[in-house]
Formats: sequence, structure tokens, C-alpha cells
Amino acid sequence: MAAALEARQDHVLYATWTGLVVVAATLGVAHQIGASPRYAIYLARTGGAVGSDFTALLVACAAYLLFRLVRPFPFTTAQGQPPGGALYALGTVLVTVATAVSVTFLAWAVLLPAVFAYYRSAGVVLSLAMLAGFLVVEASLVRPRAASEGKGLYVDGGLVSALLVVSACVAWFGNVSPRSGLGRQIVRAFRDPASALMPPLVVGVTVFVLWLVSRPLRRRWGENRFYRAAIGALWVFGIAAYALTAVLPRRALMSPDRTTWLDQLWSYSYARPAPLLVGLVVLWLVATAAGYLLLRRRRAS
Amino acid sequence: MRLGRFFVVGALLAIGATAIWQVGDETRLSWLYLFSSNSPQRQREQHQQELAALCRKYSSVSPLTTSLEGKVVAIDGAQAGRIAAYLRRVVPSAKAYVNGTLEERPIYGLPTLVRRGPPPDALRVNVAEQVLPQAPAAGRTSSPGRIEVVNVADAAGNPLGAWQGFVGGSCQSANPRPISVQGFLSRSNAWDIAYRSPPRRPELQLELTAVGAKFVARPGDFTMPPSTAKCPAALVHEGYAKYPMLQVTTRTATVLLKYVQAEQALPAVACSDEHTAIFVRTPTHVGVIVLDADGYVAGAGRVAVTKTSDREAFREVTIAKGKAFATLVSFAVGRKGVLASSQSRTIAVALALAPAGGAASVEPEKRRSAFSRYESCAAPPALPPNVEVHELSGVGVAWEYVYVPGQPPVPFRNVVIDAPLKTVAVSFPGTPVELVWLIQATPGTDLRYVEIGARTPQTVLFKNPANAVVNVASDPSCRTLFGRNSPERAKYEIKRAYSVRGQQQVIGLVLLANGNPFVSAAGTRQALQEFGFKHLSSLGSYFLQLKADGVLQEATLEDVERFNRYYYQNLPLGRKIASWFRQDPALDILSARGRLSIGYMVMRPFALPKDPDDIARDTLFMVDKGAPLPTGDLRPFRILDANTLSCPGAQRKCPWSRGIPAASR
Repeated sequence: MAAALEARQDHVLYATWTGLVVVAATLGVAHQIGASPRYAIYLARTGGAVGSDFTALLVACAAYLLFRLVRPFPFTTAQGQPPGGALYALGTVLVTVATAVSVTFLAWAVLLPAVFAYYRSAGVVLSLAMLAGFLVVEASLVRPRAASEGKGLYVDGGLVSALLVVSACVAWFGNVSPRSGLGRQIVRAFRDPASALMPPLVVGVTVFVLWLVSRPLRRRWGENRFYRAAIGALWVFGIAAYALTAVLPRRALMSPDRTTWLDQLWSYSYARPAPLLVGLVVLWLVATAAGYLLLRRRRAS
Repeated sequence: MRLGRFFVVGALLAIGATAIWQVGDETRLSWLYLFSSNSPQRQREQHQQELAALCRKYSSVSPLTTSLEGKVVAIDGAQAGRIAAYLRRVVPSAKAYVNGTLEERPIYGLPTLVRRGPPPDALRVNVAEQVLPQAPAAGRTSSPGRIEVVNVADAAGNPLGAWQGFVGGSCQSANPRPISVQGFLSRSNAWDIAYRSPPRRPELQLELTAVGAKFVARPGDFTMPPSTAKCPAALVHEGYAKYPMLQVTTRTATVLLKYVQAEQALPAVACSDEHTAIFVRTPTHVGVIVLDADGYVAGAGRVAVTKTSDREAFREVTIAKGKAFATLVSFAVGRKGVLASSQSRTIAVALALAPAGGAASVEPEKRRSAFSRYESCAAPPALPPNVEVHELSGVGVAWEYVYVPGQPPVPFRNVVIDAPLKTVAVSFPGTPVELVWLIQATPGTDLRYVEIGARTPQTVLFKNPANAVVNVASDPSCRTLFGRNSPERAKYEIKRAYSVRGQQQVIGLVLLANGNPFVSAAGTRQALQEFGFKHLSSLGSYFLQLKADGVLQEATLEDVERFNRYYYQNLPLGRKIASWFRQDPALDILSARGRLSIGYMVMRPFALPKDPDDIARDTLFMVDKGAPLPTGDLRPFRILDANTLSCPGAQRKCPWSRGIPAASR
């Protein structure tokens, strides 16, 4: 019971930090978009974006999160349970969904820059949703219901990994094999200006729902060391897949002589997709095994 | 916090930093275009669709009620020059005045003739430009903003036809394609109109003789162009032009000769009731332009005349007994300080020009007498040891071709031997491919012998006043003088082209002259037509000709998609599923996407060239189900045969060569 309580209070602190990072990243990207004349020309030509300024909303979110870092929630300082009731649940759902969609959007925009065209439009909606979530959470604290062992939502490492891995895999596949049956559909989906937003949203929402509904299962499996090790290794896999798709091509193309190891790795990943996938899976298995051994040793000690 | 939560914060920081880095560097923004709606390919497709819609909306035609063949046409308006260029290509016999001016260049190297003011009975073509009511979107500068309206009327102003639309190839992607302005002018409904050769003018033969008479220079020799009384000539200056123009007044018209060079002898003019002959000095030649009674160019010719003095002038310009004469006098300062003639040469030209029907109406036997044809070996003559022998080995595929309709095109070589006052023989050993040669010697060249060594058949069309022997040694039994195994070879001093790096002298004498300015295009065409050959400037023009004849059709993206489906239908289920996850090379016919031309659909059989150039090797031929294969050697070509789902040619990366089960073929 005490461990569960500690974990939940940890989640609150963790969610606050996550929110701050999301807000900072969104602010940074929005600023960069606003400062890029070429991007402005691109936006004018595609006509896809609303030139909204949501800086004030984001600053408000950041101020609130900082405030809650300095002055933690009353139930945290009192070492009590978070308030039960619909308001608190609604607030946490709003904040979690806004955070998850922000992460999805940011990840997709990095993978396929066409999504940047809608970044500012989406930023307004998401910062509004986040701010609304904060207000609802605060409202739930005014008249707290009886404490319960409600299971709050939060963005955890598994969700972020899944979002990264799935996004990276889809984008990478579209790049590697644009003329395959699936690749053509992916490329077509992103070329249509009206529906450029749909693929990331559909993928993100699907992952989010799967993550949500599989929570009891994951809790049960979470007691299995091998599962925990596999999920931990998935983070490694996610970062690797993401870097391969989002960072490597651009870095490799920037080398003038095309002979850097980055370029070779990039060429290899695009020229031989199947061995690369097998290699990544093997890497994942190795990382899982290592993690499993580590967990066993820690338990034994 | 546990490690997993640090991961989330770290991952988010990494994503944010990457995004900021991505947007921060403007060069990386080019990636936006890869997947965006603004990609170049999408832009092009959109642009084509817009153009097609514009074409359908604004194109209209009321066909010409009369043909423009042989007519004098006065074209006026903003795009008059462009319309005149199209008219010259599709109706070459029409004489087109552009905004009141007709310019003609008789042959290469001679000045341009200018006529001002069309005759009153000329057909009137008015070209008007109209701004499109729907102006194209900003930034799309390649969209036409104007349409052309072409109205044709007779001299009295009665309308004969009208056309409206976009000149050029803007409407190529429209479906159905509107009639092009070329089609309108040539009274054809086809989109692709085969360009026709301009009417063949007889090439005049000039005779050059030395004159013994002495001449003393007069002041007028260098200031007044000599002319006969019936056709007075004068120098006129127009605007700010650097050089004066020669103005000649004939019985019916006044013509101007452009670019009369101040440092050359002034032109001379002589005329009779039927003809006007204008003698022109160029740095290397003396040329003659003969005008007919109406003042249009009837023929031209030139002869190489070396310049021996800085001061030259034409004298004694006359027309008599169907010939025009002029004496070119080279002046030099004599012992007594008098400017007198040092050398004089008379140039005579026969005015018995071909009748208006052109050379076709002349008896074929008479015409053919100027050329002879050789395909088999001949006994070599006894050559004196002091004969100059020039050798060029390994003459290969040229970028010009000739063909007889129904037979495959053959590469064409045009050779001019230009060695005046010398006795020469030429040898072309080791010719690797089948060629058609046109060999000519310039006046004054004493060409004795031509030897061509090859293993494949060679055809030589030969023009030589001295009747040299032509030995086409394509058979091992043929006797040769300059062959490697010939005992006579050692007797002669053979100058081999390119035998020494940088050596150019031989090439200066033996001109391999495809495209060389010394080769007369009219003479080449005449020689080829006499033997039934058609000239092709490249194999691309052969395919265009076949397209115009309906033998080939331009392949569209729909054709490519259909060929993809043919393959896909026969794909085993496993590979069909796999094709969703991996780019199947067999479906990669679409690599043609993005090219200006995908290739051709074969509609009827035609002969493929034996020795194709690179363009032909790269051209894709698609044979649809039920359509026949081309004939000839298919190996060098890119051919997709939907009947057998195979590539009959030995091309690399055949999309259909792998994985087709035998039963489905």
C-alpha cells in the first residue's frame, strides 16, 4: 500500500516535469518556425497552417507547472491519496491526452517535416487542452472527495517508446520502400494536404488506446522480470529506430564527401532494410537479456 | 524517480531539440518537399491538369478552306515570327513575310536576302494575343498567360480560317488534344505534324577560269557595286547597322542583301528578263544567288576562290546565252604606282535552272548522272607513287541516318575531300558497322581512288567530276591497295589521321563532314533522294516519323500502369503480398516517371536500326497485348512485350525477366 502511494506521488512529480519539457519543446519549435523566413514562404505556398501565436498559453502552462513544482499538491505534501472523483480524473485525462498528442505530433513532425505545416494550428489546440486540464485538476482540489485508490493516467516510458517506435517504423518504411504497395499508400497519405495530419493522429491514437486498454495486462506482466527487461530494451530500440529515421539521413546527407560512418549506416539502412530490421531485433533481444540478468542480480543482492 | 521516467524526459528533450535543429537550418527544410503536397511531381501533375483544362476551354479552330502550299503569306502581329517558323516547317513551299519582311538565306555562307512589302495578292495572316481572363496563379510562371488568335484571310479580306489556342506544346497533356497551330496551317487534324524539308533548290555549278586581260582600278570599283542597266544596284544604310546593304531593283521587286562586308569586293548584279544573278564575295568563296522573275531565290551556288589581294572588285558583269558572267579582279600596286590587276578570274554560272516543279520533274536518269552508287569491290587503279594517300580507320556510327521506307535506318557518313590542285586517294579501313557514305570531292581536287575496308555491307554514293574508282572491299576476296595485307601498301606514303596525337593536318584535307559547313545540305539531300534514301538527323527523328505515320504512339502513364497490372495479375500470391512491403523490381516500370518522354507504344511492326545510337538504345518500346514486335535485331533495345511478359532485348534490369512462373507466360 505504501509502495503504491509512493509510486502515485512519483507519477505526479514526473508528470509535472514531463509537462514542462513538452511545453519548452513546443515553445522552442514554434519560435524557430516563426523565425524562419523560408518556412514562412513554404507555409504561404501550402496554405496549410494558421499563423497562430499560442506563446501566451504555453507560458501560462509553464508558469502553472513551475508553481506546482515549488508548491506541490496538498495531497503530496500530506503524504495522502490524490482526490478521487470525476473532476480529477477528467483533468488528468485531459493533461495526459494533450501531452501524448503533443509528443506524437512532435515526433511525426521531426520524422516527416511536412507535418510542421500544421504545427502551430495543433499547438493552439493542445495548449488549450492542457490548460483546461490544469484548471479542472485545480477545481477538483477545492472540494476534494473522499480519497480513493483511483488509478490515474500518466505518460510513461512505455507509451513514449511505443509512439516513437511505431512512428519511426512507418516513416522509415515510407522512405525505404516508397514504391511498394504500403509505401505508396503512406506517401500518398502525406502528400494530400487535407489529410497530412491524419496518419500521425491515427497512429498516435491507436498506440494510446492500446496502451490504455492493456494497462491491467501490463501491470500483471510488470511483475515479470523478463517483461520489464524487454520493455526497457524497447526504449533502446525506440531511440535507435528514431535516430535512424529522423537524424541519420539528414546528418549523412550533410557530409560533403559521403564517406562518414553515418552516411554508410544510412545507406545500409536504406539499401538493405531486411538485414537492418533483423539486426535491430537481435539488438533488442540482446538488450533484453542483459536487462534480465541485471534485474536478477539486483534481486539476488 | 525511476530510470523509466528519466527516459521519458530525456526522450522528449531529444525530440524537441531535434525538431528545433530541423527547423533552424533552412537547408534541411528542403525535406519538406519530399512528402508535402508541394512536391515537384505533384506540382507538375497539377500544372499539367490546369493546362489541359485551359486548353480545352480556350482552344478552337475553323479549318482553312484553302491550302497554303506555294502561296505568298503575309503574317502580322505579336507572335508573327513564331507562326512563320511553324509555317516554314509544315508548309515549306509557302513564302512567309513576317511583319512585312521576307528573309531568305540561299545557302550557308552567303548573305541573307531581304524583301520588304508583300505583294498585294498575298494571303493575310493576322496573329493577335489575348490576355487570359483567368490569369494563372502567382508563382506559376510556366503557365501561359495569353492565347494566340490566328486569322487567315485572302487578299480581299475574306476569311479563310481561324485558330485560337496556345502555340507550342502546352496542350500536349489535354484530352482530347486540340488541333495544334501546325495542324491548322497544314490542314491536318493530327497533333504531331511531321516537319517537312524545304523545297529543294538546284545547286548551281560555277565555272572558274583565269583571264589574261589587264584591268586598271577605277575609284568606282570600291564604292559602287557593278550592275547592268536593267537592275540598278546601290549600297544603302539602314538604321544603325554596321554594314551597308545591297539594294537591287529587279523588274518586279526590290530586294536587299544583308551584311555586305566592307573589306570584301562589292557584290555585282546582272539580270535578264527572267533572272537576276548576284555575285557575292566571301572570305573564301565567290557565291552566286539567282533570283527568278518575281524576285524570289531560284538557286544559289558557290566556288572556292582564294583571296590573293586585299583589293578586289567585280568587273564585266553580263548575262548572255543563259549564263551569267563576272570577272573578279585582284588589284595590286604596280611598278609605276598604278593600281592594276595582278590576277583575274571569270566566274560563269549557267542559269538553266530546274523548272518550278523542282528536281522531281527532271528525268531520273539525267539527275542520277551526277552521282553513282557502289556496293561491291572494284579493281584498284594503277596509282602513281606520288599520289597523296589519306587514311582514316574505324569510321563508326554517326549521329545521322538514312533509310529506305520499310527497311531499318543505316548510319550515314558524309565525306568531303577538299584538296584543290592535288592528286589524292583516300582509304577508310576497318569500318566496323554498316554505313551509307556520301563522298564528294571539291572542285579542283583530283581524287583518283576511294577504298573502304569493312566486314559489313557498305553503300557509297559518290560524286566526283574525275570519276575516281570506288572500291568497297567488304568481301575478303576484294583486292585492295591500302589494306594491311596488301603488297602495294608499302609503295605509298600514307598519311594516317589521328596516328599522331594532336595531328590535324590530314583532317584539314579530308573532311569528315557531318555538320561541317562546307557540306551543302541541299547537295546531300539531292544525292540521297536520287537513290531513294530518306535522311534522318537522328534516330529520334525516325521515331517521330513513325509516330506521325501511326506506327508508334507516345506512351502515357496509363499505359505504364496497365503494363504494371499485366505483371501484377500474373504474380504468385506470396510475391503479391510481399509487394506490399517491399518494392518489387518487376513492378518498377514506373521508373520512367519524371522523364519527359516515357517511350513508345508499338502499334504496327517497323524496322529497328541495326546500329542504334545511345538515344535509341535508351528509348523504351512497349508492345501491348495483341500488338506485333518490331522487326530486325531486337537485342540492343529496351522492349517490354506484354504478350510474353518478357524483354526481347538484352537490356539491363529487365523488370519482367525474373520470377514469372513458366505456366503464366
